[in-house]
Amino acid sequence: MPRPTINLRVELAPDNEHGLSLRNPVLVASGTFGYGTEYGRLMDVHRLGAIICKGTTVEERDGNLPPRTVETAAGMLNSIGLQNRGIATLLKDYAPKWARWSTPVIVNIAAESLHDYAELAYQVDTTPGIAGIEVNISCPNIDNGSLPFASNPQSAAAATRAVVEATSLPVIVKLSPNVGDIAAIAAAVEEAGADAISLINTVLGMAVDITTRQPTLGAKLGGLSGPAIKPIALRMVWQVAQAVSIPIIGIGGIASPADAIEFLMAGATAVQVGSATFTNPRAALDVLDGLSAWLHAEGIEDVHEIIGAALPPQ
Amino acid sequence: MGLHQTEDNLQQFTATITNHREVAHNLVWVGLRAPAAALREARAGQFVFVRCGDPASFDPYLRRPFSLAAFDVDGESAALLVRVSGRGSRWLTERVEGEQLDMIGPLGNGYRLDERSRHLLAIVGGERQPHLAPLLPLLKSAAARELSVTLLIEAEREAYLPPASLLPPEVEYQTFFREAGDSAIAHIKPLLGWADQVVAAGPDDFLAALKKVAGAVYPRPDIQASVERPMACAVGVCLGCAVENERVGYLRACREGPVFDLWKMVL
Ligand SMILES: Cc1cc2nc3c(=O)[nH]c(=O)nc-3n(C[C@H](O)[C@H](O)[C@H](O)COP(=O)(O)OP(=O)(O)OC[C@H]3O[C@@H](n4cnc5c(N)ncnc54)[C@H](O)[C@@H]3O)c2cc1C
Ligand SMILES: Cc1cc2nc3c(=O)[nH]c(=O)nc-3n(C[C@H](O)[C@H](O)[C@H](O)COP(=O)(O)O)c2cc1C
Ligand code: FES
Repeated sequence: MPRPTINLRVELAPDNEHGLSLRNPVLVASGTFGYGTEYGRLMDVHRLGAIICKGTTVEERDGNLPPRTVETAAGMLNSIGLQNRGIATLLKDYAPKWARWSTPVIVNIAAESLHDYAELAYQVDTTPGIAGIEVNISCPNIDNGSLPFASNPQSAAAATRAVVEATSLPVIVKLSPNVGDIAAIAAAVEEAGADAISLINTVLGMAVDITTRQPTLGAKLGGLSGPAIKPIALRMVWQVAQAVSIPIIGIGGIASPADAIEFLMAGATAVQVGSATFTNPRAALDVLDGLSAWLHAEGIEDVHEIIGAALPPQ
Repeated sequence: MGLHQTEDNLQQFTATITNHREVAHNLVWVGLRAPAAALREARAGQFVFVRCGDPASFDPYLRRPFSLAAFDVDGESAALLVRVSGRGSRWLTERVEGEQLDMIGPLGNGYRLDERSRHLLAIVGGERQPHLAPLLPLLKSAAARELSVTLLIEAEREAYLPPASLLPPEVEYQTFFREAGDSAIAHIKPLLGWADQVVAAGPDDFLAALKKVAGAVYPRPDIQASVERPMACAVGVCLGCAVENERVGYLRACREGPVFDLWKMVL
């Protein structure tokens, strides 16, 4: 067992009045861990650094036409379409439970207008049991040509500002990989007041069913996740780490301790384990235990010693 | 949602393959020894989520769902009935006796046998091999309770048919082959009046055809049907396994299903 002397604690919102201090840097990603209750029988949820719940919108959403998932080489595509029961139900049904947990819960919000982002942030802010907000900006901006907020620095910054102004909670903005210049978007989000940045969301892709000769997914396009996207995610974390000074949470294909260590070395202060949990419900805990064991074996006493190790010297 | 849901007794466990035999073309019976605690509360129609590949590899990425084709609630034996259709099912059927499988379960909501039922009609279809597995434990307990049971089963051709030896001897087994231009559904009408309860399993188009034929019968019989959907998580978090319900929108095949009230399903 790893010695307790290793410091794994990380602070993800150093400039926020509440802060977001986690006992370890291993979180579970939105949409892959439900509301924190479902995996309770299969792993010890209370050892996680934090839990990020399924994306919530202002109103209930039915989600997309099935099929919604398809397996791909070392990964999967999904087109769930943000099926959820709306913010009011989420706060009523889950927040009281979360308030009693030792593991912080971060609420992931999604919206198609600045107004809705602000509304969600406001509602979350006034409910106990929530440690922070993660803002999914990969949704289309219906007030402006339906391009995703994440697709350019201006709209990404606008969504960030809408949330930051409506809450005192720590705000993490989750970036999309489906963009040209990720560093410019990250810089705009930092400038707009985000406490931290998480990346990446899924990579836009598709599959064709050769029997029907049609796209396999009901929504035609879907988001790719899993080990297949890890190199893309790692590259983006490394680029963003050189463009911002706020903490970065690395996401994308993390399934083993070595994957997580790569992200930390590329400049992430913490990581999220996503769809790997589907295959191995203990994936996040295996990452955590393996990270501790590795730090111990390397004689490293504080996880911060490896954060950014692979970045070019400044 | 006001829907019936089983208490969560799911666990992750290791099962050991105890026997292994091809019972029909591309249809393999995989006998298992599993921890008693994992089977104690299992119910007919529930399934397990199996890692079908080298545990050190993430390709294939997802686990595969398989119905519990047999299980012993007071013991350690269970079985899967696997249709070989792709890389995961092939990997599974290539394992040999003594090898271990990593699985999560039991999952989902099973069939419910009404206390008052005396006549049970089971109807099973499939693309090639029929989806018999989820119904096997139900037919076994129905026969044990001395219900009179009729099973109509449809396959592409005889070589794909699960042998009658998998069934309790009391079950009346009627087979139909699409190759010969026949279908199980063409023969259900006279039996719908006889049955107190109807249970079904098969692909969506098969269930849709069943719904159409049975819907023309008065009074409409109670029909519970088991569906198959691609599953990423099988524990209710990904919302990928959506099945449309005419009143409440999308339900999850892995949680509220895989057995649903056929009359409420939009197929
Ligand atoms: C609740 C439930 C119970 C099932 N019970 C049985 C059973 O008892 N016996 C049996 O032989 N099969 C059963 N199936 C179907 C079985 O899960 C698929 O045949 C299997 O996943 C195919 O995997 P593959 O790698 O061999 O095929 P591939 O075609 O290579 O699989 C590719 C991907 O598609 C998915 N997939 C393909 N076909 C299906 C399908 N019909 N249903 C769901 N996912 C599919 C796979 O899981 C995988 O993610 C069940 C499915 C469900 C949802
Ligand atoms: C089924 C599924 C649902 C998801 N839902 C959401 C969501 O609601 N909000 C969000 O920000 N990201 C969502 N994601 C993206 C993940 O949080 C994560 O960014 C992505 O899967 C990449 O990580 P991975 O490769 O470890 O899975 C979802 C991913 C999957 C697979
Ligand atoms: S398979 Fe994930 S919710 Fe059913």
